[in-house]
Amino acid sequence: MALEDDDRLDHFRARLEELDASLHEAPSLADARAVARELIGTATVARWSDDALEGIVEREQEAPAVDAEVSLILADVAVARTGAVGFAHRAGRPRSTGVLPPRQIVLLDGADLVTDVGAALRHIGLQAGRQALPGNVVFAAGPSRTSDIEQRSIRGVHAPRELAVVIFRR
Amino acid sequence: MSGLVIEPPRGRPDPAVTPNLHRAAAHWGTQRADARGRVDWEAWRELARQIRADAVRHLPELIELLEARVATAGGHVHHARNAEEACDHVVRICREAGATRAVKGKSMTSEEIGLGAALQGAGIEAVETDLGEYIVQAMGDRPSHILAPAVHLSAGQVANLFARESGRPFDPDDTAALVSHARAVLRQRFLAAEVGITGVNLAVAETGTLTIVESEGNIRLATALPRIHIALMGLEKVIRDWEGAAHLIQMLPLAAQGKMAAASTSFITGPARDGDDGPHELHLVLLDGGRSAIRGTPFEEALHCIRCGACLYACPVYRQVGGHGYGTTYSGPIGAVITPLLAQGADTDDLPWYSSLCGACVEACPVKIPLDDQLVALRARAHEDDAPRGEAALFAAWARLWSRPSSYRATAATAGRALRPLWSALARDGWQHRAPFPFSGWTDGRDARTPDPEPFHARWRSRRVGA
Repeated sequence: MALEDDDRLDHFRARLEELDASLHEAPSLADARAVARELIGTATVARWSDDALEGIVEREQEAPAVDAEVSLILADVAVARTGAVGFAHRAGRPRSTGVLPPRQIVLLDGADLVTDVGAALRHIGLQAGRQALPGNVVFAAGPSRTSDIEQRSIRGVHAPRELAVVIFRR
Repeated sequence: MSGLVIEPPRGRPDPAVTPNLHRAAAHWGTQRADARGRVDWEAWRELARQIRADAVRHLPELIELLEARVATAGGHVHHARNAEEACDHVVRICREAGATRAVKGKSMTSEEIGLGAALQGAGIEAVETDLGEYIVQAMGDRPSHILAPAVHLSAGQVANLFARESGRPFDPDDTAALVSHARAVLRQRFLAAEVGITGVNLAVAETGTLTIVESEGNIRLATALPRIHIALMGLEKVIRDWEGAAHLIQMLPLAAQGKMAAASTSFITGPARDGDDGPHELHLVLLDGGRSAIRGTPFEEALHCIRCGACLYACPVYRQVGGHGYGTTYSGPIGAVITPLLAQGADTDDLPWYSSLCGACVEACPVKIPLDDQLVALRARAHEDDAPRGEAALFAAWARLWSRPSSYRATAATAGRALRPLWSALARDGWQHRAPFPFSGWTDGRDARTPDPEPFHARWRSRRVGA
């Protein structure tokens, strides 16, 4: 059953909290950019090229993904019931940028927050009958983690160890 | 010979194993209880069972569809009838590309076919990148759980290993430092690798999409940085459509870790294209390895398994002996079922006895495989041809004798009295460490409690009298 807008946000917020990720709410894209700028501070950044991500990072802060401290990306979809953000990689949105830096800031348009996994797969174009599916999609639920050593839960192995989602209304 | 059977189970387990396993199983139990409260667990299991049953029932047509769709998306499909052919494909793909450095994601199928040894033999360096697998590989050990390969090891053992590796000391209690050491070492391997080798959790036939779930991000790196991606999957991992995929990608982490979603789920349809970074070659190696032969037999449901590892932690036998105690790639209840089915010819007849038939595995299974029934059927099968003469008569006589309380008490008390001098001569701290034949069959591998000098019946009687 699909959730109402407010319920979706409540669910999403609760899941992210459990996953040790943070959620920041901004009334507009301009505000979201300001929040992102503040979260980044003086750290070095690798980012995807997208209009929504313009005007956040100073040119001298930008760094190649392998050296950057922060990755700045835009989600295509998010799932209220699981806390996952989903993104399709393509030209201008490289996989390496999304996975190499230890901290990640994800901008999310509130209109892309859906109720469940099934809706999210359709929203991002993973369904039969399409001309071409996105070649590589990742759903990320919270920071990367491991419990391989005595079940002690540790955040951050090969993918980001900190994840901040900034949700905004266009 | 495939890697299905590694060595006969033998030897006394490392004393650290049992507490490590018990802690892991308890942890899993708590997480599972939490997760089940969030969904209609029984309805979810039934739906998951139906999705897997449909896939296995229509396996040939779905594999054909998957193959066509992967090819349309620009990928290459390679069929392997057995472990040797699967290894040959992987080695050949690396050689043709002139590649000698590979990074590997965790894949039980790669253990099953003995891929590590094949790559090493071909001069291709393949580094395990899942933290647990990396630890196990560096120790020259083997994984002991489907999802938690190093569950049998303690933090102290890992700290010692990393200290030897790096020449600086590690505090076993500083888990974050241990993880960050592995991250730094492996980061360099990822950046240098030419090939990424992964398993597959689900393949969606209708679009040719490979789905891989993970916690650590090593799969994302292995499918982002190298120029070639080789995905290895058992035929049975295919499912029909996205509706099924949407359910199973939630069911798998729920059953495995009690989580609503894996930390990362990758959906891969063909190689990278049009300015996307990522591998520009995608190879899918489809392993039969005895799977097709299980279809249409009473054991078909064993192919429904999604490799979540839940039945391992649920199993009282696994919790005692650990994954290595089985001597096989797949351990626990599902291992005791599928190993004899897949390893035709190899001596695995004993495996179905690695179970108390308590049914905890069936209750834990997210796709409702009747593991207990299958274990019983496999026990029967193991003795179809070679039932020792007289064994049946002996058991029948024993059953008759112990079906009556009076004769049970008489024989049990006599046996107890007869053996008591032996037990007390050998006992140390109430334990038998090294008993004479035929009891050595037990004590060679584990200790046995010295039987209580006073039989249960006698104690029961005295309590009743006193009460």
